Amino acid sequence: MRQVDVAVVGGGPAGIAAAIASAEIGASTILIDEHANIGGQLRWRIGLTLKDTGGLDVEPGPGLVVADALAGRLSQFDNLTILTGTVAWGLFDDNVIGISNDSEADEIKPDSVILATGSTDIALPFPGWTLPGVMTARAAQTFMHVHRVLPGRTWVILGDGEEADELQGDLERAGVDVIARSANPDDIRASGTNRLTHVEIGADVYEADALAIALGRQPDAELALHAQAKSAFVSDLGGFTVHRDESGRTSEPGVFIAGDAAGIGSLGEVIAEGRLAGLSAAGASATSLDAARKTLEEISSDRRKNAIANLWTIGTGV
Amino acid sequence: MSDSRHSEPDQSRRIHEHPLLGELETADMVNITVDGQQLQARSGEPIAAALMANGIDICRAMPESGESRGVFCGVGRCSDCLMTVDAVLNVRTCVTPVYDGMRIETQHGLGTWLDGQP
Amino acid sequence: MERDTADERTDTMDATERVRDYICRCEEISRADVAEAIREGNVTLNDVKRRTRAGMGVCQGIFCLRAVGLMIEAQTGTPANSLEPMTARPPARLVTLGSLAALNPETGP
Ligand code: FES
Ligand code: FES
Repeated sequence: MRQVDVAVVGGGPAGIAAAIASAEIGASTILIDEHANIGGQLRWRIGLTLKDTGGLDVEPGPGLVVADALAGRLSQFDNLTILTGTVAWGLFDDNVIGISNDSEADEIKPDSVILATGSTDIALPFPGWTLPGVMTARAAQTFMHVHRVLPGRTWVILGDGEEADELQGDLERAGVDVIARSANPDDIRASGTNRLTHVEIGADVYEADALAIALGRQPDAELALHAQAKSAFVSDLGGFTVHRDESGRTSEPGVFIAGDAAGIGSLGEVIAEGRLAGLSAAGASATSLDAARKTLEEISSDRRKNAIANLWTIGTGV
Repeated sequence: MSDSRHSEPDQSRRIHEHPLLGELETADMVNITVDGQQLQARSGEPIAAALMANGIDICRAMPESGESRGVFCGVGRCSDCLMTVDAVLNVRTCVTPVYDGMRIETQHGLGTWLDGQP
Repeated sequence: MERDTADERTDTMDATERVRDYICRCEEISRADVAEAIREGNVTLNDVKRRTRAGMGVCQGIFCLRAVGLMIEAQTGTPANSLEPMTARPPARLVTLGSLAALNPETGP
C-alpha cells in the first residue's frame, strides 16, 4: 500500500492538468493511466487542436504535440510518480484505490483522489451491431492512430454530430472510403455471416466492411460509482454524470472528479477543470484557487456552467 | 466456421504512411501463432492490432449464441475481443501486447473463472 | 415509440440474423426480452437488470443501459433522465485473478 497526498486516475488532458497543479504546490502526487503513454484522448483524437490552454503552461497546438510537451512537463517533478500501463480497477472505503498492471496488483491510499477517467463512446443498439466490423469511433481512431492498422476499407458512419465529422476526417486522412452516413440508430441494420459485409440504411443497401458508431461520448465515472457518489442523467453533459461542484468535489469526502469523466467538454474546459480540481485536492492557497476558478469561468460554455450548477438539484441521487 | 482466418495474411491493412502521424517507425517483428497459423506482429503491439494487420477480425464466439465477435470498443471496456492466449482464458486482446512465441486461440464461450462469477 | 420495423425486418433475415437484435451485447439480451421485461412492470434500470441481466455484463452497462433507459421511456413515458442512476461494483475492468491474488489478503478489498 502506497500513501500519497493526491492520486489522479487518468492521464488525459484533465488528469495531466490536475497532476501538474497538485505537484506544483508540493503535494506528493501519483498519476495512474491504463495506456502505455499518457495523453489520453490527445493520442487517438489526432485531429484535435488545443486552443485554450486552460491555465496550463503549455503552447497551444496540435493535440499530439501538446501531449508530448505535457509528458515532458510531468517528468520534471520529483514529487510526482507516473504509473502507465496500470488499471485503477476499484475505489474502496477511505479512498483506497486498487490498481494492477499485467503482472502485479497494489493499493494506493491517497488523502484525495481525482478521477479523470475520461469518456466512453455512446453506443445505441441496432440489428447487427454485434458483428465483427462494427465498432465505436474510438476503436477506429485507436487502431488507426495508435496501433496503425485499418479496421476496414469501406466505411459507414452512424452519427451526424461533431464526433462523426471528426471521424470522417480521420478516415479520409487514412485513405479509406466513407460511403454512407446515417444519423439514426433506428434506421440502420448491419448484416453478414461471420463479420460485417452489408449495411442497410432505410431502403438503401451498402457493401461495407466497417461501421463506426460515432454518436458522441459519455462520461465514464465508474470509480465514482464504486464510491457511491451521487449521479444523474444529464444529456447536456453526455449521460450519467456525477454530482460535483465546479472544483470537482463529489458527494464523497476526498473524491474529486474532473474533465470528460465529470461531463463531456472541450479541451480547454477539461484542462481548466482538471487544474482547479488538482489545486483544490492538494489544498492550494485561496489566491491560486481564485485564479484557476476565474480561468475556468472564462473558458466554460454557458451550457456547461448551467448544467453543472443544476446538477445538485436534479436526479434521484442515492 | 468459415472466416478469413485461414486465407493468406493480408498485410495491406497496416498504415505505413500517415499525413499527420508520418511514417510508421520500424519495429522488431515477432512470431505469433493464431489458431495454429504462424503470423508476424510488431513487437509490443496489442494482439488485436496484430490480428487486424493480418486480416483477422474475429476474436471469439459467444457463449450463448456462438456468434462471432471482434474488436468493438478497442480500449478494454467491453469484452468482445477476448481470446485464449498461452492457455490463459479471457485475455482482452485489444489492450494486451504480443510477445515472441505467443500462442493465440479463438475463444469459444466463457473461460472457467468468468463462469464462476455471480 | 415502439420499433414497429423490427418485425418487418425479421422477414428478410436468415436464421442467424434473426437473433442479432441485441440490446445488451455483453450478456446477449435481445430487444424483445428487454421490451417484454418492461411490459411485465420492470420499469427501472435496476429492475430490468435483475429481470433480464441486461447491464450485468463486463462493460457494467455503459454500452446498453442508455438504450434500456430509452426503451423504458418509450414504453412507460418515464423520462430517461429521471431514472435512477447506474450502479457499479469493482472491478472496473476485466482484471486477471492472478494479479489480484498478489494483493495481501489482510488489506485486500
Ligand atoms: S474490444 Fe472491447 S475490450 Fe477489447
Ligand atoms: S452491453 Fe450490457 S452489460 Fe455490456
